[in-house]
Amino acid sequence: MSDVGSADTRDEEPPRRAVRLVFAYEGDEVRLLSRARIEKVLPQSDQSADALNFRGTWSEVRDADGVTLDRRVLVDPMPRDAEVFPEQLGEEISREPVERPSGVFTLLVPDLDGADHLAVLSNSPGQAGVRAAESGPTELVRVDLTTGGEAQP
Amino acid sequence: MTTSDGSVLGRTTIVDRGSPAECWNLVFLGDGYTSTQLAQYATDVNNAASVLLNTPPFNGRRAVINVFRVDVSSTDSGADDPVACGGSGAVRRTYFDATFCTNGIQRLLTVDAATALAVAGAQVPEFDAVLVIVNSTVYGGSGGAVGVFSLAGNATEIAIHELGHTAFGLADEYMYYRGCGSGETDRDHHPPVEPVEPNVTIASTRAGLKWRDLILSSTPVPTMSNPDCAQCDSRPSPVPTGTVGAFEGAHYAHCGAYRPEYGCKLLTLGTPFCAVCQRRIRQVLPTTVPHVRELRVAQAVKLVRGAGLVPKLVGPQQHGSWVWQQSPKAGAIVASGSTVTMRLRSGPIP
Ligand SMILES: [Zn+2]
Repeated sequence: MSDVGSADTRDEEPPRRAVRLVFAYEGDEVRLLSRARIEKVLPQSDQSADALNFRGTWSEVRDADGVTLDRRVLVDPMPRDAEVFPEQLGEEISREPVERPSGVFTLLVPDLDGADHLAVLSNSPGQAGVRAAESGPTELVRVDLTTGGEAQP
Repeated sequence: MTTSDGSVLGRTTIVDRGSPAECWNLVFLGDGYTSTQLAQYATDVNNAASVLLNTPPFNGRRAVINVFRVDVSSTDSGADDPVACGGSGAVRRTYFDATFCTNGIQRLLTVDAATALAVAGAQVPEFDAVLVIVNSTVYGGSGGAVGVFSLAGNATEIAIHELGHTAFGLADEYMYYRGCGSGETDRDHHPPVEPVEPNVTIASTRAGLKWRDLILSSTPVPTMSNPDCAQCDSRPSPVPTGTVGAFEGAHYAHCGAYRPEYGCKLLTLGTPFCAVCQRRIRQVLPTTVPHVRELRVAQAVKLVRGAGLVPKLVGPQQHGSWVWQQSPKAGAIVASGSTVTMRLRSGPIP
């Protein structure tokens, strides 16, 4: 057997820095509650070129030229309904509309060199505040990533 | 009713698989446990964690899942249970302000999610998912930024279903909105737009399905078509349980949207996740790099792919090539889909 202890190459270290953002929403108003830099390896970016052919909500980290560096699909982060569960397994789960949708959601995105801002976008017909899908995705909120990193009140 | 009604006492790592920077981190919080009930809380967390870790595909990825328990005491035991929904009328002073009857629905048990996220972030900054156990035997739960569930039998299933949405980006697979018998008339056809989630689609041809690589050539596509779009299709499955295909009725529509299997936890509680949902969960969870050094290249590539990683071969690729070096090293916890570089040599393995 060869001496394998030193044989491992170290050519592709994944980024280990991430930013956690917590948002509050009420109706179609979205605001940043807090953000914090942490050490964490994240799942791979949803960079599929197909992404924009779908309907949904997602986050983008972009550089100063607006080029997307990271994309993450979010499943209904600001629901206008609540999921109601049956007491007996196998019976129907259902959805009930909520009168005044409000709540919080959190995102983890990579803390990338060259990142300028984060945007949450949606082209989902059911998402509050989203224009008709034909006019392209609507930016629901944008956060400057060049400053801060501590929790903001 | 607020954070003045209790205190955060600290965190305990109940399953430690490695650095929280690399592992997937599940955080449990408790509400409505008084300081003398925290031993019971610890038992309740252990039970819920055990259910999750024994649920496929989590059971196959235990090596990358950390579980944390954050001890939070409340002034009172239990949760608010308003009479408006037929509850007992109890008003309890608890840290996360758990209450039944949210939005006028008795079983809709919710907490102050902003406070829950703040506590989880302060105690376990690297958290991936947060579940709140509410100390009540009345059935209830909810989803959203944090999963909430009570101690009633089967309520843990609510938490696992909700993790499917919040932590793994899965869509509901049920074919109605308020219910099959609700009289709703706006759920006959899915809108002609492709949902972004990996487990539902409007495609009805084999080539158009997101999960086509999981369908046997002998399985018809569509596998089930709903003959009456005015109703849910309640017929039994024409194929054995576990068959991946395209079953019409999904994503809140009777027709025009398809789910991958007849049954799934995103359709009904108590059912296993379907193969497509399991794959998505595995893709989001980190994975462990297999040991491939000094293996023949074909065997090494199979192991790397089997771990959800992408092989990259450097050097002579010929009959008899073997892996001389690998990066990352065996046992490292990395993101699924990461590249494993294998430098090859030919000839006999020393
Ligand atoms: Zn499924």
